[in-house]
Amino acid sequence: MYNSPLFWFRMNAIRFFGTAIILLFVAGPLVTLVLDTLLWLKDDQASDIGAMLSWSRQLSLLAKSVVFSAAVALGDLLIGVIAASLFWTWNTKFNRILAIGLLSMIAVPPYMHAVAWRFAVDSLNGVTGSIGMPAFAFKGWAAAWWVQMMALAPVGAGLSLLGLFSVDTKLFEAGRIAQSDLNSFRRIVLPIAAPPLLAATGFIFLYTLVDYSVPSSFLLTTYALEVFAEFSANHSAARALLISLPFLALTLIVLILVLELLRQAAVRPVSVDAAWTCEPFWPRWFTQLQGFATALLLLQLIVPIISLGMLTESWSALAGAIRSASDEIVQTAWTAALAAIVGLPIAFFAALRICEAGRYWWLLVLLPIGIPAPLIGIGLISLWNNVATAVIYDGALILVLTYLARFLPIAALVFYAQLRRLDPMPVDAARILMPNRFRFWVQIYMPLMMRTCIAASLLMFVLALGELPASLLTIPAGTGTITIRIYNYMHYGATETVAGLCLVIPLLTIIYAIFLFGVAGSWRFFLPKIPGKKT
Amino acid sequence: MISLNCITKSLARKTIFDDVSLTIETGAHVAITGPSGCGKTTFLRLIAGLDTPDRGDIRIESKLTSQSGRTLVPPHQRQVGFVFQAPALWPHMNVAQNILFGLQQLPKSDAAERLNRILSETGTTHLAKRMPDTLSGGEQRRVAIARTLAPEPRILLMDEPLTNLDSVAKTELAELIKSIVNNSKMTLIYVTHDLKEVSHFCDRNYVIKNAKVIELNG
Amino acid sequence: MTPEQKIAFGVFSLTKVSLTSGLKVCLAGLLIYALSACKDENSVVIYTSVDRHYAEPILQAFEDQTGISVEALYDVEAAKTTGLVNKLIAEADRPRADVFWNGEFLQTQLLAQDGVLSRYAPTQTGLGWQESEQLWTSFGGRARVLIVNTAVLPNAEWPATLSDFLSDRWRGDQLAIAHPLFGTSATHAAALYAAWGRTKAQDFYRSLLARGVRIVDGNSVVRDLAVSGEITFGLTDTDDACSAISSGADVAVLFPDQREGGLGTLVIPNTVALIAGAPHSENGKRLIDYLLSESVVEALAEAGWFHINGTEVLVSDTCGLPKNIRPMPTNPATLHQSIETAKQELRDIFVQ
Repeated sequence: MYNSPLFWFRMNAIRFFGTAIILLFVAGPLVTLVLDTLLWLKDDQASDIGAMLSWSRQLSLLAKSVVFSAAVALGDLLIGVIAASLFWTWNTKFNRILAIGLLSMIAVPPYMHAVAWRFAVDSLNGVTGSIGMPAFAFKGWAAAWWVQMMALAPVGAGLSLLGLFSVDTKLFEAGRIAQSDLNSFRRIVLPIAAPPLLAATGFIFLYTLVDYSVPSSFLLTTYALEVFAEFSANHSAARALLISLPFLALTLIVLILVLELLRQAAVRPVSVDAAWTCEPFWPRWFTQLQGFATALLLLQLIVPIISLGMLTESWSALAGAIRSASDEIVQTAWTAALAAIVGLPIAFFAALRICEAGRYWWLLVLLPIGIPAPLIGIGLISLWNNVATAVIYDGALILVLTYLARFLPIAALVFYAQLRRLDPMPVDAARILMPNRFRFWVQIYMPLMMRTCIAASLLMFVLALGELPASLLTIPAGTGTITIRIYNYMHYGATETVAGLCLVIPLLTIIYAIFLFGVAGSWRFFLPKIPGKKT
Repeated sequence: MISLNCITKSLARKTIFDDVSLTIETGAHVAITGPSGCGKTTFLRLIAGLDTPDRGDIRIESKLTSQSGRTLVPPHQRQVGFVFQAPALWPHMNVAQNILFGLQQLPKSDAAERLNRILSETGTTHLAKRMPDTLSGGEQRRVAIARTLAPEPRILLMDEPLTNLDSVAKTELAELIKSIVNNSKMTLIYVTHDLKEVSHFCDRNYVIKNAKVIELNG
Repeated sequence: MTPEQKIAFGVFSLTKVSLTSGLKVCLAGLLIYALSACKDENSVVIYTSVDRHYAEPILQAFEDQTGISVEALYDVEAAKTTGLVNKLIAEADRPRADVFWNGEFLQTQLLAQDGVLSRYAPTQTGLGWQESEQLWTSFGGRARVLIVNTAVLPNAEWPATLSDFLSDRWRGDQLAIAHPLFGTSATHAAALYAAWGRTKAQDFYRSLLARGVRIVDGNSVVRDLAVSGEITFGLTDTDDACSAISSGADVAVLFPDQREGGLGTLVIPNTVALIAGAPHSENGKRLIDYLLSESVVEALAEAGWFHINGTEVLVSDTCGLPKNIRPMPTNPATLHQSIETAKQELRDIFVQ
């Protein structure tokens, strides 16, 4: 009986099912691309490879891109950690509001961040010019670095805060007795929080590496543009994938480093967030630095909103923009939300499997982070555009699958970072006592991971809202997304409408965040009910 | 009856158990001792189903539960109770909910009756609505024991439950454990460093040494 | 198991984590909505790279006239033409589109050579022309024009040819072109390669880069820079340039190389084609015939998308353009051959 296939299927049904889902949704497009590339190579196209390569130019381009991405990631790490060191000691509710506000700006297309900052600098130059001061030249690599770094600074701060929350405050307190608070923070908290902090930095590095939009708007070229130029010129996904191999190699290196760090992460005993009984005593220069970092984050919230607001010019223009794009707004909202909800258990499962099975699992799940988005789109078309799956490909569900393919690996990484820190004892206690698996998950595991679930879901949602390159390829005719509409209008020059629609994006994020916190708050209704008494 | 047959287990390239065979009769009170890192907690985890032997099999009441890298019967179906080294209470549930978690398969009236009884037996009735992080170390241990005993397990596994407690709390908790264990037919496997606890709770003492489990007489 | 446990286990077997009942119902509803995405048989699917602002009213009019529901998919400039063309190629085994309406012709020629298009001889072609194997038809057109900021540059000093981009009269950073690897700029590059030959064309683009001429994200960016006065003049398309004039900006639009013996101005016609294996081919043919009709050409001219039809300049008054244009002689087949070389070499020049 124990050796029968049926027994093993029953024991491992969830594992098989979950593995199949991940292989299909996440690894599927990549596997399809690789197979197509191998077929392309087999058809004596190898001679084309020589024509594709221009070593010195491409290496120089790659080097520039790596330096640029690293500079953005390091800048965000610095701002994120310093700002998070302040937020860490704040009231939890305020932290939540701040995190939502910051995260919501990521979904605004990077190009619009560039527009918003240019508008702000031009306005400032107008003021300084009127008092005889020279204009500030906002161009080149410095400007591109600033815009990209600021666009992703909220992600850096949010994930840094998550990283700091994963440190047992008792360990910090043990240090405060012996050393100054800053020294304890530097030598105890930061090393313990290093794995999730570096994971966040790695994500920002890879995200910047594969995105050319901001540098391109400042007339700068990066290796990502090389990939798109290749794809545009030859319409061959195989050739573009081969040109993208450096991205894959860099992704591999970053993931190996990050996963190794996370594997060694210390476990944090679970506890409820208690208010600080004695807030840290920071030196004056550090509090000024914290203020500066916080000001930068608030600037990243205020500048786009005010610039976009001014560009929108009137409430009626905003209303008109919303009316004209109502279908796209609804479609984007529900497909992004569905992906962010459905993707949660899949990402959770993937992270669990990486913890358990390790070795090659993470390749399948996480490597797609390094694939340029249009290639993911082509892989999705190859996978889903067939008679058997017509009902999926021809409808809006393909958008959900697009968002899952692109962003589920990031959510899995967020879960993995937290799972490595999770105290196993309460989980083991539940494994012994659980009445059934359903209650184990709903009453124990999910609440213990609730904060991570909210972070992962919100991150997936905002990234899905702003997604363009892959969804442009997979979206069915007759439908659209808010980002596609924004770029349609941007080309046409309807700045007012574009700005208005960009303001809708943070609004959608706030609504979704409220929904998430509502679900989290209502979770107590799943907990065991004390007979005869309200929970 | 718990029987371990030819169990071999390694962790981090270190052999914890090397071809260990052992039988513990139903109702026996057994102590497991040994130096730090010898595998006492791993021993309990193997029986509980939280870990699997690399080779060999484990049977509980003649039913095969684990075999050579496979868990055939999951932990919650082994009727085992486990008191961990740390209280491991769930921070988002109050004391009553922590205890009720393992009673949800019972009819509501039975669950209520059992909750009240266990709260009373462990002297934690006044803590029922409190959250775990508001309890002292000793109170958390009591609640952890109450939670473990509520489903009336057949096998009770205790991993140094009296560690890091002051002498008063230790004494009170020791008396509680003794009374519960003596008044039931549970099989007790008790891990400790303290030889006083061995003689207080247990009839037999096994020591883990050099990857073997050896029974000590007397 | 109690009945409750059986239900719980059943739900859990289907999904890893179950949600509240209301959320389950919502999810089920959403799935039903998504799965009910069956296309109406009396419909036609069109992929178009033409700006939505121009294409949508035309397609809406077709829908109103014929009762055939039009499902349109628009491209975005930011996708740098990796969008619809690649989607059509990727979907070739099971096409979803019926018609492809492109704002230029080289990408359409590429699709023809890849076997993505189907033969169709429309009922009329107007002043357009058909590809040799009837795989696509051209109609209307835009021209590659110079947009000049008149506040910065008086009439007497306006440029007249593409070679003026290399003139010392203006600093390089006062001039701009859209990236020659993408869109109509790429088409223009291929035309120059064909007209001038590889060496001269390469030298031209190298010189542009060496002079510091701004290479920007798209034709609309060139327009915006000219309108704001950040550049003196730039190279863009008629629709972008004329939209600036319509909005009252201090700019002028010129056809370059119009002098006798000059290169001529590149006219880029729109193209329309039937997709091979189209799911609604009959409706597709009707749509193609409709797009090629005189009324549509007029409507697009009125809207500001088309400015050229053959050698005639449409709605020239509103944009300050002459009534006629001397176009650059082009042969799609020759251009298609030169675009491969052009893109490879231009990538080596500009992507670094």
